[in-house]
Parts: sequence; structure tokens; C-alpha cells
Amino acid sequence: MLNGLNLQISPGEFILVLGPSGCGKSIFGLCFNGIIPQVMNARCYKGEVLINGKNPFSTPIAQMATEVGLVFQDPDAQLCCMCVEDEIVFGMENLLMPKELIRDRLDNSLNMVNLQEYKDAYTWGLSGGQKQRLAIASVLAMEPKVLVLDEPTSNLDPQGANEVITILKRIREEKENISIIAIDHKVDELISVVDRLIIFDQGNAILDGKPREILKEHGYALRDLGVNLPQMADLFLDLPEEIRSTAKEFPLTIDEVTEVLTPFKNQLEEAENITGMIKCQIPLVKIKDVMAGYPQRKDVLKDVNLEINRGDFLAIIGQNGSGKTTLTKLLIGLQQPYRGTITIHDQNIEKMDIAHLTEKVGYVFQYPDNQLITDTVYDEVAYSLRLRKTPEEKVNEMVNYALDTVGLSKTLMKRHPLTLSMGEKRRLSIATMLTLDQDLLILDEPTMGLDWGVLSSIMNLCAELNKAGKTIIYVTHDMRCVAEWASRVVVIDEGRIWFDGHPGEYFSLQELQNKTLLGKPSICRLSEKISPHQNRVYLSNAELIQALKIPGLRRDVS
Amino acid sequence: MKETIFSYNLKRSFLHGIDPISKLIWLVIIGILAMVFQTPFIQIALFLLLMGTATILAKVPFLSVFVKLKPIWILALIILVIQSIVIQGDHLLVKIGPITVYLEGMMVAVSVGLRMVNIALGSVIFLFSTHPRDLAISVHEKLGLPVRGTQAFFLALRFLPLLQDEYEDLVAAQKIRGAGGSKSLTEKFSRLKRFTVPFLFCGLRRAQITAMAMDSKAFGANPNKRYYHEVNYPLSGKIFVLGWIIIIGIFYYLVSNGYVQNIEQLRFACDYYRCPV
Amino acid sequence: MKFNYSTKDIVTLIVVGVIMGIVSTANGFLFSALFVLPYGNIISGFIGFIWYIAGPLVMFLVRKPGMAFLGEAVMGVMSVITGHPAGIAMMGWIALEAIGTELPYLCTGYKKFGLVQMLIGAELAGLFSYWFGIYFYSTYQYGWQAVWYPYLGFVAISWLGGLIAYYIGKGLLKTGVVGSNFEDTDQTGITN
Ligand SMILES: Nc1ncnc2c1ncn2[C@@H]1O[C@H](COP(=O)(O)OP(=O)(O)OP(=O)(O)O)[C@@H](O)[C@H]1O
Ligand SMILES: Nc1ncnc2c1ncn2[C@@H]1O[C@H](COP(=O)(O)OP(=O)(O)OP(=O)(O)O)[C@@H](O)[C@H]1O
Ligand SMILES: [Mg+2]
Ligand SMILES: [Mg+2]
Repeated sequence: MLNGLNLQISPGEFILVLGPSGCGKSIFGLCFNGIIPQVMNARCYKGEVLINGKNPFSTPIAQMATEVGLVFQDPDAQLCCMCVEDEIVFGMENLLMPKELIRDRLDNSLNMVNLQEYKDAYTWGLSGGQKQRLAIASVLAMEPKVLVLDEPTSNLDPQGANEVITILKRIREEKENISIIAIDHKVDELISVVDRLIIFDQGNAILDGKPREILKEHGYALRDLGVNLPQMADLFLDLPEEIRSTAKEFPLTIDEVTEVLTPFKNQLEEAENITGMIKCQIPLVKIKDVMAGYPQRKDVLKDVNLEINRGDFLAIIGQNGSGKTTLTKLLIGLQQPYRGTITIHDQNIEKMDIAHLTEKVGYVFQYPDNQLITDTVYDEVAYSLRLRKTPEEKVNEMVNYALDTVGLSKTLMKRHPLTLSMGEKRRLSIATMLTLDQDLLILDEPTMGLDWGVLSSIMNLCAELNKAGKTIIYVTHDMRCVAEWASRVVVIDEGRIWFDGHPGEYFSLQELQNKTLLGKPSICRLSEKISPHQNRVYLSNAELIQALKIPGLRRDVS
Repeated sequence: MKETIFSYNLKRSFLHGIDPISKLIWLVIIGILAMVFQTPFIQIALFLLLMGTATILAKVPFLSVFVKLKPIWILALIILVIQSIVIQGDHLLVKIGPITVYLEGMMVAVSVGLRMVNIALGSVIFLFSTHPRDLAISVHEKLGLPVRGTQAFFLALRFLPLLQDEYEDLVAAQKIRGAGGSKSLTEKFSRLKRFTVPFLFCGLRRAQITAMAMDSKAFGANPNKRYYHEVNYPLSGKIFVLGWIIIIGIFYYLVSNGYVQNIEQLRFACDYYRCPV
Repeated sequence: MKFNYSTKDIVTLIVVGVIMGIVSTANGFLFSALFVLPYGNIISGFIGFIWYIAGPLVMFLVRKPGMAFLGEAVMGVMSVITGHPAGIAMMGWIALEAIGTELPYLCTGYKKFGLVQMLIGAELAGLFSYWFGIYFYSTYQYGWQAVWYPYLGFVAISWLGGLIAYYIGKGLLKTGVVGSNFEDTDQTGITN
């Protein structure tokens, strides 16, 4: 998969690796300690890697362990012990270290990631962010020279992701000789800290250098590739040439862009008023005084009242465990409320069976793997149609339509669904929900672990479906994704709805933001800095650029 | 599931202080006692002894014994009812219409039902008072199981809650796709496959990440892994086991000398199990 | 014969073992509930095959000596942990069944890992387990009739465990999550 790769990494460097899905970033990460080719049955055809003089392709993995630490995406899967303490000492025990040394390092690494109080806790009781911090601590305890992180924040809520990024910054400050290699999609927070940016495509490092320089030289090309760019860089690339030329250097942070834009502040029009945007309202789903939960915890949702209107593009956000999934499960009848009623089209859904309900509501699960049940992509899409005894020509037509809509190529039709890539599986699971032409489509975290190219294509697909009249509800942790696409946002915290309204309004409410700790996209922070007294913030780059009316300036078409 | 398996409690009690190996041997003794003596009186005595051990020696909260064993209680009750109705004998106890309950049936029912409860009760006490980590370590140190084996034990416990969550997700996801329905045998078979394959797929893929994480932490580098934690093997553990061996002895003595009406009942049971009608 | 299990093999073993362990516990409850019914000792035999899936399946996925044995063993331990009604006494059966599922591979020198071996393995497991049951409950005292009836259920159908394991295994190979294992090593020999 990797070909012709040549890299040199010096001690203490903090490197960010970016690239579109499936370009070989993970394989690159695994090469560092010899998991490839020694454990995975991958083959190394040519070349060698040298870390501190050791070649991971031939050195036993155990010896590489003190050189390289690996942290993976899934916070659950990478912990192999039951208690926090065991997890950290696991590696050191394997290396037969003396007890005193283990004790010292145990304390040190617990301190490093702020988990002292959880020393005796069971690992499965931790939150996602804590698990990920623990995973970092457990490799830090072995004092590796290189720390490789493969999408450590993809599965986390905004707060958990922040915790992890804070830890990374701290490691960088306190441990000078550790090189950190982060493969991650959360570029906004990382880009200003890293020393070096490596861009991957098709198994090769196509670009390598200082973040600023790379983005300056190749910004547009990277965007076409589908690489996640920092939102500010993305914005800067879209600004008219006349503004761009005023910048001293390529801006990466909010402050830097603010500086660039300040002279043009007066030319910025206010963001459109929200009231003008609200469409006609025909309620589709009514949730009334609902209390729902699980036998062990009955009040996951408390007194929820919500009306979802036809044509809404609704985003549900909240911290891990706040009850988002529970709320969406109620709508598809996977769970019954303990109290209160839910109606769709004025029909109480408690009285409908799931088979009937699925004709009205489509649901795409967080992990598409669960939802794929047949042996080929074609059968997968055809499944619910055949279940309803649809004639075969009609099935064929519908399958083609659905696959076209989500942009899956016909060549994949005979493949086994579980062998597809993550982005393809996600699109396939959406396609399976298109055949019955439901009014309401619910997506649980459709953007997890995807690169910006795939993510935006999926969200644009949803937006198109929404325009065509479908009501869409999606759960997400990605605030940029909320600001850019949603027409309405519902914030849930501890089972209560804290906010329900237009994203523009939500991201303008500072108090609420402080309480929910969900963070906001860079563009919103930028817009607060530039024009703090607006009635609402700008939600997307496009919106800001539209608002930028400079007489005599032609918008740069890029 | 999570609740039963991870019920280890940090409370200090007599049994908490005993090493896992002694408790493991004790558990085997309970198993033997419960399986070998098929007489209601011994089972009742064993039950009372175990309840005493649970509440006094292990400080298991009295109520939670009943809550944790709920499925076993229910099953035991079903067995009790069915057995006592089905098995015929000489001593009629109750007769309501066509339903007759004989003393003999009642006795077999009680002993079979309680046997299950007793074995489960033993496991609850064991799990409540034994840290799984200590168990794994002592099995490695004393019984000489290789490190890979003990680590596999840890892993199994780790995966249990994960797989349970995965299972719930999968059931929900497939329900929505409309999987199910048809009653024909081939359909049932393909449904089984349709369910198992994605389930194992998700589990295995996750597990492979775990394997990578473990490998990158030098797992298995040295066959004689030294554990950071230490397990004590106090004398009280041996005394505890010895005490229970004496109890077996007493029971055996009582039964073989006919102090407990056993032989008769055992024959009934054997006759019954031999072949139907 | 070398026991060079990699971490990945162990982890595969554990996942299958844990899942089948839970299934086995559920099956145990069902089994003991059926057993006490009239004709229970025949009817209950028909669900016995569920206990013989784990061993052949693990062997199919990993293909290293001893894996069928360990698959059954882990399954048994897990089912004891998760509260199998037979409790610790389960281990007696498990040991024999584990040997039963491993035997066909042993006899063919670990060259083939196909359907035939899986069926025979499950069948042997059923037989062994059945004979142990006869010994354990001392039913042999009562003559051949005691052996005959339960034979119908228990032994006649235990090969089904191997068949199911085969289909699940094939399905998993298609997904690519396992199986890249055998392509470039010398342990190929997937029959058919
Ligand atoms: N075990 C495997 N067997 C065969 N092909 C594989 C295997 N693992 C990965 N690949 C292929 O190698 C390519 C690179 O995969 P890799 O996981 O490195 O991508 P990535 O850049 O990390 O993508 P993502 O951003 O989605 O994580 C992909 O096309 C993938 O299909
Ligand atoms: N099957 C279950 N049994 C018991 N409690 C559950 C179950 N599923 C979820 N919970 C609890 O309900 C709460 C809400 O869960 P939910 O899955 O709705 O959260 P969420 O907002 O979707 O979180 P995430 O962002 O992690 O997906 C959590 O505290 C969780 O522990
Ligand atoms: Mg990757
Ligand atoms: Mg959720």
C-alpha cells in the first residue's frame, strides 16, 4: 500500500499526518513498531524503517515497544485489562521491570493524563475521553521515543477530544525528546501546535513541511483531495485575492485571520436575520412529556417535549451519554417511553409495529456494520424491497436509483458489504434507507471518522434529500457539521432539552456554550471577534464570504 | 451480565482476605457437594451453610443474593413445580383434580431445584469476594498456566461487556431492516447466519485492534511475566478449605449410614431419568 | 506440532469463546428446563449440538493445532462464569468434548480444515459427551434401553454443530476480517 515513502523524523517533533480516507495513513502508523508486517499479514515488499537504529520490520515487536507507543481510534478496543492501574502496568510487567520503577512510572503517567482518582476503577466504566487518555498513559509509561496516534479523537465528544488534545500539548511541553505523530481529522486544534505536516495520498507522502508553507502552496489541491483543512485556512483560501494579498503569512489560527479581516470589517454585512429563515411549519413528529430510559436507569430522558416539522434538517448535539441515541431510538420504536406519547403523522407510534414504522422512518446506525446483513451490496439495498414482495424489475430500478443517489459506483454491486471502506459502508447504509422512500430519515453520528471530503459529500447528500422534501435528523459531535448544514439544532444535556432553535442563534449564546462545553466551530469564534455586536454569528465560510461586500472587488472564483 | 461478573466488592471480609486458589478449590467442593448428594435434606443444609458463608464470611448484602440469582430462582421454581407434579410415588400429599403431588416427587423437586441454586450461590460468593486480577495472577503463579492463558482470561472479561453492547446494537439494527418474519426452516437458518456473521465480524475486528494494542505493549515478550501486584496466600485459606472438606465428610457419613433418607429417593430419581414412562 | 499462537489468534479464540459461552449458558437453561419435561431426556438432546459449534469454528478461523480444543474449553469456562446451570460440573463434559472436536484434525495431521473434519469433530464431541453423561449418571446400570433413547436426540444431531460452524466460518472468510491469515503462509488447505 505504501510505496516509495522516504521520511526522516527527528526527536521531539510533533507531526500531523493528513490524507483522504484509505490513503494508507493507518498502515504508515502501524509500520512504526513492526505490527506491519510482523503481526498483520501484510507484506513489506521493499525498503526499511529505522527507529533509533532499530528496524521494526525485523526487531521483535517487544523490543520496539520501548521505542514506539501506539494509540488507536477506538477507545474501547485498545484497552486489554480491567482496571486502570493494570492497564498502565501491563507493558512494564511484560518487560520485567522492577517493582519500584513500575510504581514511579505508574504515578507519573497517571499524573500526566490526570487520572489519579481513577486508579482502581474498571476501565469499562470510564468515559470515552478518559479511556483514550488512559490508552495514552499506558504507552507513555513505557517511555517510548515516538508516540503514534491513529485518529485518537474520532470517537469522542467535543469535551473528550479536547482533553486528549490538551494532554498532547502537555506531553509536547514536558517531554522534549518524545516525537509525536498524530493522524487525526481534528485539525483546527492541532494545526497551530504541530511543527510539521505530512500529507498522504495513495500510499505516499506527497507533501511534507511546515504547515503554513504547505497550506500556502497547495491549499486548493489539498481541498480537492478531500483532506481536512483547518477551517480558517479553508476560509482564507476562499477569500478574494485582494484580501489575501494583504496577509503577511498564511494564517492558521483565528487570531491570525481576524488580523487579516479587520481592515475590511466595515464592508461585512450582518448575517441574515434568523426569523426570516424559518419555513412553514407542519408538524411531522410530536414528542410530548416523554420520559424514557432503561431498566437500570429510567430517567435518561426527562420530560422531553419536541415537535419536529416537515422539512426540518435537525441536528441533535450533546455530550456522550446525554441521551441523544435514546431519543432517536424512541422515534423508530426500538424503545418505548415510560411516560408521555410520541406521534408520527398524528399516529401514536406505540401502537405501530416496527415493520410498519420503518416504512415511515429510516434509521442509519452509528456503526454501519451492524446494519448490513446480506452478502452483496446489491442484495443489501434490495433487501427491504424483496421483503415487501416488490417485483424484481422494480427492485432493480430502485437499487440503481439508491446507489446512484448516494454515489456508490456500480462496480461495487457484487462486493460483500462488510469489505467496503468506512465511508462506503456509511453511504450504503444510507442507500438501504432510501428504497422505501420514508419521510423521516434519522442518522446517528454519520460523520464519525470520515475525512472532510467524504463527510461533506454525505452531508450534501442529506441536504439534497432534505430539499427534495425529506425530514432529516442527525446526531453529531462535529460542530462545524452542525453549523454548516443544520436548519435547526437541539441541544440535550442530562436528558433535558436545553436549546431548540436555529444554529445561528445557538452559537451566539455564550452562556449556553459555557454550560454545555460542546465548543463551537472556528468560524463562529472568528465572527465574534470581528464583529462582536452582530445579532448572530456566521455559520459557514460561504456565509461569511457572501457577507463580504467590497465595492469594486470581484469574488475570486477558485 | 456486567453486574454479575464484575460484582467484586472492595469491602473487607474474611473471604476477601483468602487467596483465590483456596476459594477456587472451595468452589469445586461446592460443585461436588451439590452434584453428588441428590437428597433434599443435604441440599437444604448446604443452602443454609452457603447463606451463612455469604452473609457472615463474605458480607454479601442479604438482599442482593436474591436479586442476583433471580433467573436461577425462577428456573428452580419452574423445575420444582414440574417435577413435583410429574413424579409419582406412594405417599400422596395433595390432590387437586387431575393434579397429584407425591412426597417422592416433592423431594426430588426440592433437591434438583436447590442444587442449581447452591451452585450459583457458590459462584456469587466467589465472584463477590475475589478480584479477577488476583485470580488471574494466582492461577499463573500457583497452577502454572502460561501468561498467554491468564491474559486471555482478562481479555474474556474485558470483552464481555463490549460484546453485550455490540449485541444490543445489532439486534436493534436488524430489527429496523425488517430481518425476521418468515417461519420456514431455511429462512430461520439464513437468519441465524445473517445475525452471527456481522456479530462475529464486529467482535473480531475490534478484538484485532486489541491484539495490536497488546502487541505494541510487548505482550508475550517474556514467558515469565512478573506481576506488579502481589497475591497473599494466608493460612486461613487452607483452614477454610479444610473446614469444607470436613463438612463433605460429615455429609457422606450421614448419607451412607442412612441417617438421611436418601437411598429411596435416589432410586426414584434414577428410575425416572432412565427412560420416559 | 508447534503452539505458536499469536496475539491475534488468542483474541479470535476469546471472542468466539466468550460469545459461544454465553450462548451455551442460555442453552444450558433451556436444556435443563426441557430435561424435566416428560420425554425430556430425548427432546433436550436435540439442542445439544449448540455446544459443539465453538471448537470447529475457532479451528476454521485460526487453523493451528489445539485451537479446536481451546475453543471448546474457553467456551466452557465462559459458560461457567456466566452462570451455566450445571455449574462447575460443566468442566467434565467440556474436557471430553474439547478432545472430541480436536481429534479429527489431529488424526489428519493438521493438514485439512474443511467441512468433513468439522462434522466429525462435532459428532465425536456429541458421542463423548453422551458417554460421559451415561457414566456420570450411572444410567448404564439400566441396560441398553437407557442408552438407546437419548441416542436419538443427542448423538444423531450433534454433527449439526459442525455444519453451523462451517457456514458461519465461510461467511466470516468472505468479509475478510479473518483469513488473510492463511493466504501467504503454508497452512492453506481449505477444502473445497
Ligand atoms: N488488512 C487489510 N487487508 C487488505 N487491505 C487493507 C487492509 N487494511 C487496510 N487495507 C487497505 O489499505 C488501504 C489503506 O488503508 P488505511 O487504513 O491505511 O487508510 P487510512 O488512510 O488510515 O484511512 P482512514 O482515514 O479511513 O482511516 C485501504 O485501501 C484499505 O482498503
Ligand atoms: N442499554 C442500556 N442499558 C442501560 N443504560 C443505557 C443503555 N444504553 C444507554 N444507557 C445509558 O443511557 C444514557 C444515555 O445514552 P445514549 O446512548 O442515549 O447517549 P448518547 O447521547 O447517544 O451518547 P453518545 O454520544 O455516547 O452516543 C447513558 O448514560 C447510558 O449509560
Ligand atoms: Mg485509518
Ligand atoms: Mg449515541
